[in-house]
Amino acid sequence: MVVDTAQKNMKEIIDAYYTAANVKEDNGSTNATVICAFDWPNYPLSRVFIDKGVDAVISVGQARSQALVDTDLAPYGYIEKVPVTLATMDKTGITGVKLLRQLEAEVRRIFEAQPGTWNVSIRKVSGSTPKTQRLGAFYLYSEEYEIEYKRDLL
Amino acid sequence: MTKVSFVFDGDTITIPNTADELELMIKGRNVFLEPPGIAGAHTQQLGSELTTLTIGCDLDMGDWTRAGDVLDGEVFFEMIHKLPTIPYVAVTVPEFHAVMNMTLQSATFRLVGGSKQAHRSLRLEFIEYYAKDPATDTYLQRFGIT
Repeated sequence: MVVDTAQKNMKEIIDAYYTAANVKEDNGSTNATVICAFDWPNYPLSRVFIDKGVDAVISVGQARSQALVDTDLAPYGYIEKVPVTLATMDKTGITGVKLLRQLEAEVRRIFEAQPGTWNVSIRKVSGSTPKTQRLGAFYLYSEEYEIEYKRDLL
Repeated sequence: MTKVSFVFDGDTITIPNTADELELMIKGRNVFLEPPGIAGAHTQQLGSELTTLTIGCDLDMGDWTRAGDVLDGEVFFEMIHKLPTIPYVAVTVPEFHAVMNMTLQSATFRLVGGSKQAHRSLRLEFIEYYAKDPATDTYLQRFGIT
């Protein structure tokens, strides 16, 4: 059984509304291979990008949570901030930076189109942080989005 | 958890949260006479004002509908409309151990946008429904304090 966490909820939203045709390889016609997964998988990045042939990763992290407290001091809801990290690399036929920009546009589009429902859950992109880093001989082009999720009591 | 509630037209309505504000104001009705030539003023006690209860709610969270409602907080539209026939409701305010007959004076629905503060709120103003000689009721009876 998977517990209904903010992390799971965000992954479900991305899985449900991600449109593969919006993220292309350099030739402009082939859809890039993109996976959406929880963070901290028990295998290295090289397995994802090389062995599995994945071009880009949407990694959904664990949420930071803040209780909304009522005047009777009991929580009546939560604001949960979920980090969503996008990562790409340069590969044959793929320029990592270009792919990252497309992926970024797609994630923005998803949360612009799916802001949630008043009094059930409200989702919004609250900001992003560049995370590109050098890994030995390679660049991991990356950006972390923070999705703020205001949710009712379970 | 203890929430503000009231009975309207046979339905018990529990307000899901009062997160923005819960203010109960009791107030004396005093008149100050300030004739020339004296220091200070003559104070005349004319009784007490009606108690006011102001509630600020986070309308984003919790269930704000009754069976069949299409709008969050729809009950307050009905309450305002029916004031001539249902002039007051018994409001239970657990934080003050109080149960008082009160009239809904106003309900303000507010939607705010913006990247940080987008939310909906509801502000309710109730005013006490009461007119008695203070000698006939104790304060415990008036405010329903138990």
